[in-house]
Amino acid sequence: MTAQSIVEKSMVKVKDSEFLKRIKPEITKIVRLLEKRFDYVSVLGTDTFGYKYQLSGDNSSIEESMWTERGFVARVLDNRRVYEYSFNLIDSGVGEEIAEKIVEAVEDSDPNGFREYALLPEEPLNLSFNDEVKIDPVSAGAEKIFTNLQNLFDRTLEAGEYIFNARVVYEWVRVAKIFISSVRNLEQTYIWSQAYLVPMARKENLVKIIYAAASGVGGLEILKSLEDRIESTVTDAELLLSAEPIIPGEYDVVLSPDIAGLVAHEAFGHGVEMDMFVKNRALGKEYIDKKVASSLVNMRDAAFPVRQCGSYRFDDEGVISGNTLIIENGILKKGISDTLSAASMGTVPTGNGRRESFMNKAYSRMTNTYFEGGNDNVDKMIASVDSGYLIDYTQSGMEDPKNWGLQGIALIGREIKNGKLTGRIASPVVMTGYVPDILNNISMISGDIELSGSGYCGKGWKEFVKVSAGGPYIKTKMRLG
Amino acid sequence: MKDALQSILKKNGIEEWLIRIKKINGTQGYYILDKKEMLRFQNAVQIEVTVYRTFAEGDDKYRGSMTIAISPSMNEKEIGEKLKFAYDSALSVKNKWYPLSNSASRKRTPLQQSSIFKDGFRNGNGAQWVERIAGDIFNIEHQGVVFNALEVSVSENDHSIVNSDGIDYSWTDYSCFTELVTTTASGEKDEAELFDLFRFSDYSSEQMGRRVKQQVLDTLDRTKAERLSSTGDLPVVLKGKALFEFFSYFINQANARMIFEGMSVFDKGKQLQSGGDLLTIDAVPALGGSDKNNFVDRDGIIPVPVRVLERGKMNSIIADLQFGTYLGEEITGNSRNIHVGPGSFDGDTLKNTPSLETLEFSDFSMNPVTGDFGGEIRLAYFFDGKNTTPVTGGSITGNINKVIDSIRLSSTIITEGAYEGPVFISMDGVTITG
Repeated sequence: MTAQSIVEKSMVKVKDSEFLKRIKPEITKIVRLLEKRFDYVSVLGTDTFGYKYQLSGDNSSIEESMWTERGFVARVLDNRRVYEYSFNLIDSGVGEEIAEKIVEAVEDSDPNGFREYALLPEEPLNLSFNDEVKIDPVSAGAEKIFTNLQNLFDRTLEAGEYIFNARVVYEWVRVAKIFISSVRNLEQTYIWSQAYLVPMARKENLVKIIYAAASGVGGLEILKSLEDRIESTVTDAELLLSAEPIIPGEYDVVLSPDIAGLVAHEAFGHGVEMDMFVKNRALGKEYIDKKVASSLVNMRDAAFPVRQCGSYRFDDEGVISGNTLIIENGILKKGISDTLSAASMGTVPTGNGRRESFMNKAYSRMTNTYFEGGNDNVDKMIASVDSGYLIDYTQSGMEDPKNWGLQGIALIGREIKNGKLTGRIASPVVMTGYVPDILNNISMISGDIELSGSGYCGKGWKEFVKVSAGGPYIKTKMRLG
Repeated sequence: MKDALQSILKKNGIEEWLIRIKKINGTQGYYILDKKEMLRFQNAVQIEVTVYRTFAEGDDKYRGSMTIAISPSMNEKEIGEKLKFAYDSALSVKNKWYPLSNSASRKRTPLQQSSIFKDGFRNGNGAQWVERIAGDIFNIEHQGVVFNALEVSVSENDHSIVNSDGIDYSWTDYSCFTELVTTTASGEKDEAELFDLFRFSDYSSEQMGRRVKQQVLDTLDRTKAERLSSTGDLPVVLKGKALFEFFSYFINQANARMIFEGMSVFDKGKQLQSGGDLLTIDAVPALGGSDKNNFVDRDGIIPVPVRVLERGKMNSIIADLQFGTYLGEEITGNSRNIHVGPGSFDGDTLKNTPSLETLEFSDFSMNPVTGDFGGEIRLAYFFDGKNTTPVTGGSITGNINKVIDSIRLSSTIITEGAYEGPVFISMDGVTITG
């Protein structure tokens, strides 16, 4: 299949969940029954499913996506104490039994030792959102998807001398959620997709791998952007075979949009999740309305209207998606919150209450987090560096919002000498530093921004949710090792 | 549900299949300081079905398959449609044929979980366990340190796995975790934070006590820590949670799929080390209170211990059903715990040798293909031969193939979570960035 055949089709509506439609009256019944006993009641229902298609040499597989879930979580407030009950055994006619189980679980537990919450009153709201998709993966079928993946695989193997194998992956997920409380009745349905191309290079006994990723709200059309990146990714995989460790030190660095996203996400995004404010776990709490970055810096978290893997129309607590300007001209303006942290802080929830699944608690979480564009361009940035690196390809990152430390690991550092790329690369590159130093040292920002949502985000080492992060090219200083 | 699924599979003409069912009964308590922010209850069933097809092209025999999730709220029509979709899609998966079970595995007896939770979880006692574990933690002496946030989760999981080839196992296990955030009390030089996620399947208040006390001490030391500056070349000592990640490289390299796909350089019988303490590493199915215990793996294979390295020599492959068959290996099943044999290094020698002793990282990572490792340091001790200084910030990086001949292992071993092995290891050739 050629690139032409997998793009540019007319948009189709994403289908509703038949299950959620069918079961909604029973869920509404549970809410109405529990309203008689508790001060606040809501139920989030999910029917999310999708498949992951993988091809690697002589092996292929299709499996259910790790994001598949179908179930419910009821939240009740009993004398200012918060309880949740996650369940997935439900059918028409069992609403009463489930409501009784919830009451029983609350009444059987020790009521002492709780923090007390007065949730802000919900405004009445009805919302129904059905997204659109270009190439609907639900109806595409396995054969068509594997044909696309095989094409990518074959072209990858042909593109490099040292490429001995590759892994190509496409995953789509249809998200359907309902939220019902005394005054809210919300529904949303959308599809996101992600894909990876992982060339494997070998020279004698040395094996290196790298990846290109594509992601977004949409369907099979995202594979097109992977096709466009086969050659550059294969080139980078082969360059890794001759990569050297970096000489430790502080350098002028140009961050690719991917790494800019890593910095936005790890360095600052986690630090403005307001449940961390409540727990006194984030230094950012003390810096609201204070300078934390170069005046060139604007940073935002937006579940909507940005369209990426962290997008939605309402969060997992029934709050409409936010679009939060976190840093404005270098000044920290605002954090992102779930409803409980907003209640504790006396602020308005920003629509960032998210759960890994119906089985998990909601926390303040990022959605699509990015630096806004500036007025420079990447060529000018490279030309301005005497000795440094252009850093690309995120491997991993970890937050430390209490102490404002940054850890990020990149797969590639492209050496810059006297304003030019030398063609030599270092790998891996561990980036560390004090976050305000890194952000205050930002001296150039390019215009266009790119977001990538092919990974996922944890709160510490668990509670994984889909997010995206990105930005423009950024020039700053960092410690590399 | 198991019987109903088998009946629907039969009705849809699906002859080769595997069903995995996990019934979860869990409770979680979330604390801010010592007050509960929320109490949660979980009551759910997770079901996965893999449907298989056997087909041939010419003389070549192939195995197609697809794994799907079935919700207990699906009706028969929905399940039938999803199974049919999987059965049709499985034809697009064209892998070399492999069997659905293994005769050697069927002669093995599944291990049973030994856990304190076994007698006391059945009657809705999850909330009591949450309160008890939280109480044990809050009662630990922590002067100068605030227990800022705590999460306690306990779950009882009833598993069953059955397939069309006659496998039929059921067992119960427990998956629990605590996540404790400790912060030095205000008024210290700078407030410092550490957090520890501890996953376990059995509970010991003594073990929890030791772990939390160590976290308290480490948090106090992080407050006093200086920013790591240039140390010059020094042996790096790894301790704590990084050890599991470090040794996981060898477990991954011995994985049949990694070998089949060419991502591993594992070469059975090849001597990997020419110096240092020679490594003996096993992948083991069960280890104390580990949350990674695997009584039956996802293919329905009862796993057995695998000696991956023996005295520095690549020894055996961890062979799952599909890729182990391709490689012609004995099927061992997948084990996820790591046992590493002790070495010659004692604590006194460590105390007298200049080194950077690392305890806590932001996120220590090991690349399973290249062996590149590293992480940002949250807490380490720099010993220059005379004085020991707690340090923070900076990072270490290295490659396992370049440090392997200098590795020295402690003579004492520890069992913590999914790791049993030396309390610490030391190695040269690691880059320290201050």
